[in-house]
Amino acid sequence: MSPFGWWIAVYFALATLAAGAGAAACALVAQSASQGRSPSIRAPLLLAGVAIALGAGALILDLEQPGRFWLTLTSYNPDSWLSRGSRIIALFGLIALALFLVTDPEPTDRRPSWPEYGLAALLAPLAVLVAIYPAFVLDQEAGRPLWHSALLPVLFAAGALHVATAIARAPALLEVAATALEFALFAAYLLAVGVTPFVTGAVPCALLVVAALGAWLLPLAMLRRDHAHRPARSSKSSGSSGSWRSGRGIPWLRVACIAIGCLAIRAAILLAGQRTYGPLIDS
Amino acid sequence: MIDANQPPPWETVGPEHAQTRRRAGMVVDIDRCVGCHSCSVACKTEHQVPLGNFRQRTHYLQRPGQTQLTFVPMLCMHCQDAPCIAACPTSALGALDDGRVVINDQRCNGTKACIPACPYGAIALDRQTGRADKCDFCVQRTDVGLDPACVEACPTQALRFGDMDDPDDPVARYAAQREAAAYLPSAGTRPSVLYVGHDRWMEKRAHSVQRTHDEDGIIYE
Repeated sequence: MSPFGWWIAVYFALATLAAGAGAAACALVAQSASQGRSPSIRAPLLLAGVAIALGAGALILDLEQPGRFWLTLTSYNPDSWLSRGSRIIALFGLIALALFLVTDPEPTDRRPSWPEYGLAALLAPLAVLVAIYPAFVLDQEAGRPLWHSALLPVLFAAGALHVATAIARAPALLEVAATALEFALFAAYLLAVGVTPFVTGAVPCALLVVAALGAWLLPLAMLRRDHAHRPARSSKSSGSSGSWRSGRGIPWLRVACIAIGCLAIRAAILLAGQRTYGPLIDS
Repeated sequence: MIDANQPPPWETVGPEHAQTRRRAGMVVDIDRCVGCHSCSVACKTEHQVPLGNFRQRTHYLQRPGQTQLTFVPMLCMHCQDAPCIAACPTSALGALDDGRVVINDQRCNGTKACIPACPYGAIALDRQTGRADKCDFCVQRTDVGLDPACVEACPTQALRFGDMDDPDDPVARYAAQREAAAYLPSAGTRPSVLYVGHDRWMEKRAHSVQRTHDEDGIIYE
């Protein structure tokens, strides 16, 4: 697909992953403020940093003149969402790095420190911006009407929320709700712009949508299986739908499935959008 | 076309003849266009546009319910609110003082954000150089008092270049007399290229996107 190729779809998905990981870290800081103990948030912050670095690599690979990638960083066009996004991503990465350095590597029995609160408070809105700014990049492309939907930023934000609930091991109900929200928003987007570009004359597009749906359902099946096999514990333990689930680290397989779903959906939107030209005309 | 009343070209070309334009623009008269492609060929020759790319295209459209063909030349509209300039992250696209939108080859890194930003499909990727490419109103010609190559080559004067903000400019007067209008006004870009004789059905048939030759399945030998 051209001119935005597969690397751009990868970049958008990685931006969602980074935003979700950052949001998960902020959510864990907020949760620990009430519980009086701090889980380690280094894992999600590391994931956010790696996702950003890989995303930058994907962007450079997409350039037709990769040797000039530095121009995107040294020049600033205030009207360009790509230019704004490079600054947002850079700031997000710096704040995430700072939070990574001030936080404890192991879970502790203390509330987060004030630097951790402050950095998390800065990171949270940046995570939202990182999640939604790709939608504004697409909206700026005046020749591609399929991308001019107000649902796109909400859909992309829902993807980041979905990632965040899995990484933070949110209560199962929250994770199911995030999945349903992303699914509902994509369905609404298809209704708003028309299913046709995603179905007819573009087999890869339809396959991508099916792949995304499958990728979304798989984590739910894993969630249900985990919940069914968990032994009975006290009400304070993890596993109850009202409390955050226990477990150190990140449920990598579930997060990978969700990330694949994000990639498939973004690739489908890019592919369908680039094949649809023109209805800037009032019919 | 040679006009005996005009001075020879070598007496009107040079930096001293550079015109001060308030807004460079063009009028495309569809009623005069015969689809000869002289404009496209002249443009390709002037700028050595690579195989498969076009800075200036002439669409062949069949009128609804008729067998008559209409020819619609399309090129960069040099919009006053150019979405390509807003989309470019390296500010490689910019407008000169007289509104000509040009690409700075030294700043373009091939992001390709400008290509889908253009509602007229005026920008394409030059795969040889890896940079964006589009009509620039023949900057090297218009800076020394010449008309763009396509205007010079057009045998029917379907293309006219002038100062659209100068009420005394013959092209601006022509545009006013013939009620020249923007192509795809719903795009809201305020183009400096105005069309005479175009209808809305043309906008639905020829609006945007230069498909690459491999997308069209065309093989150039």
